[in-house]
Amino acid sequence: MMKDNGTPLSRQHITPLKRARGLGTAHDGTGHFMAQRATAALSFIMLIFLAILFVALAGADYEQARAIIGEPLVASALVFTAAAFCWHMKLGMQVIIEDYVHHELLKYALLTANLLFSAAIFFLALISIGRVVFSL
Amino acid sequence: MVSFTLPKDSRVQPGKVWPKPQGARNLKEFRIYRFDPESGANPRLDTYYVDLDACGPMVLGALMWIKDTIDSTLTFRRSCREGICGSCSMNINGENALACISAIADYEGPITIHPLPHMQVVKDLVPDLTLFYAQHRLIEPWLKTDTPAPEREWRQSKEDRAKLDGLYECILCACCSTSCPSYWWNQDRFLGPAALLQAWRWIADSRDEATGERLDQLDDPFRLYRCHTIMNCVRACPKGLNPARAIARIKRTLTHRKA
Repeated sequence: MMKDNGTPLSRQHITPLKRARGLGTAHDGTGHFMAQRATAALSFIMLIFLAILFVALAGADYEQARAIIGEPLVASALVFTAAAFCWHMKLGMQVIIEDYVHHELLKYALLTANLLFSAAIFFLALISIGRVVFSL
Repeated sequence: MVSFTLPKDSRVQPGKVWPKPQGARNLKEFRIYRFDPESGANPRLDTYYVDLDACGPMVLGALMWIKDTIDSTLTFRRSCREGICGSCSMNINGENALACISAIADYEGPITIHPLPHMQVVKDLVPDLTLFYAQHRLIEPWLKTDTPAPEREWRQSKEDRAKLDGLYECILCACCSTSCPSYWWNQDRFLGPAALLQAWRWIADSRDEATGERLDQLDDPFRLYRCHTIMNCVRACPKGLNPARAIARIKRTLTHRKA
């Protein structure tokens, strides 16, 4: 990427069109956009599921809660919820990093950290749900 | 990181207070950004007192009055003085607008004028729009066809022509793009609302045969998808256009192509 060296573009020895075209199009971005919208919609739906689940769990002791969460459908929905939330979190944070962090090395480090953090949160949720479901 | 503060040599300093015109009874205070890159000095905010009985009713009238009667070095772009050329776009009391159609009477208290935000300044109120124009050139704003041109004009139904209303009227004043935070942070990669509005104008044109090619050029995380629907562009447009809606339609069209 060509950096602005502080000299007005009109006085730089590079044509404006070359600067505007940069490295060309990545032919990518729509997939990210669709995934971001889809996970947002799914997360909203799963939030309703979570609210219903919390109401159902109100006042229950651990065994009763385990019995409800241990239902295959409920456990699967919880895993699906964690996946939707974590994926959406990863996509959103990626956009913020791309928006504001322009230092190449720092940007790639943060993008990698974002991916690892989101994956770690998902696996933490997965293991926690598994622990309750299988009463380990 | 993006820079949230101005570099030391770009910070605006208090400027000169020009004397009030003698005998004037209807005065209005104007604080105007002054910068001369060849002086090596920081930008400053000069204060002028304008005799409203002697100048036109619009902000541009006051600027021209200042240039004619107080300070001939004050630099700004202007041409048509009726909101059609887009030359006199500037930041007036914090909002981007065309000086020629912004009435002085609509502003209470002193009027503060800066050049369009987050652009390199050539001098005073003149921003460097070179990249902005190149981005417009990038989207190839002309009819592209492979079919040999007909002997007479390319035909278009009234319904298809109506789809271009609200798109073709853009005057390239840059009020929208320079009000967009995404454009501030990433203007070397994000095309900005003005160029994207024109991109959609040609995608939406029933006579144009390069729709897929045009969409290819926009399918990019930065060129198009830096738009986060902040909507400043809609608020800023002096022609009442809606670049955000045009961008949403490009995104929807790309989604339809993919799904």
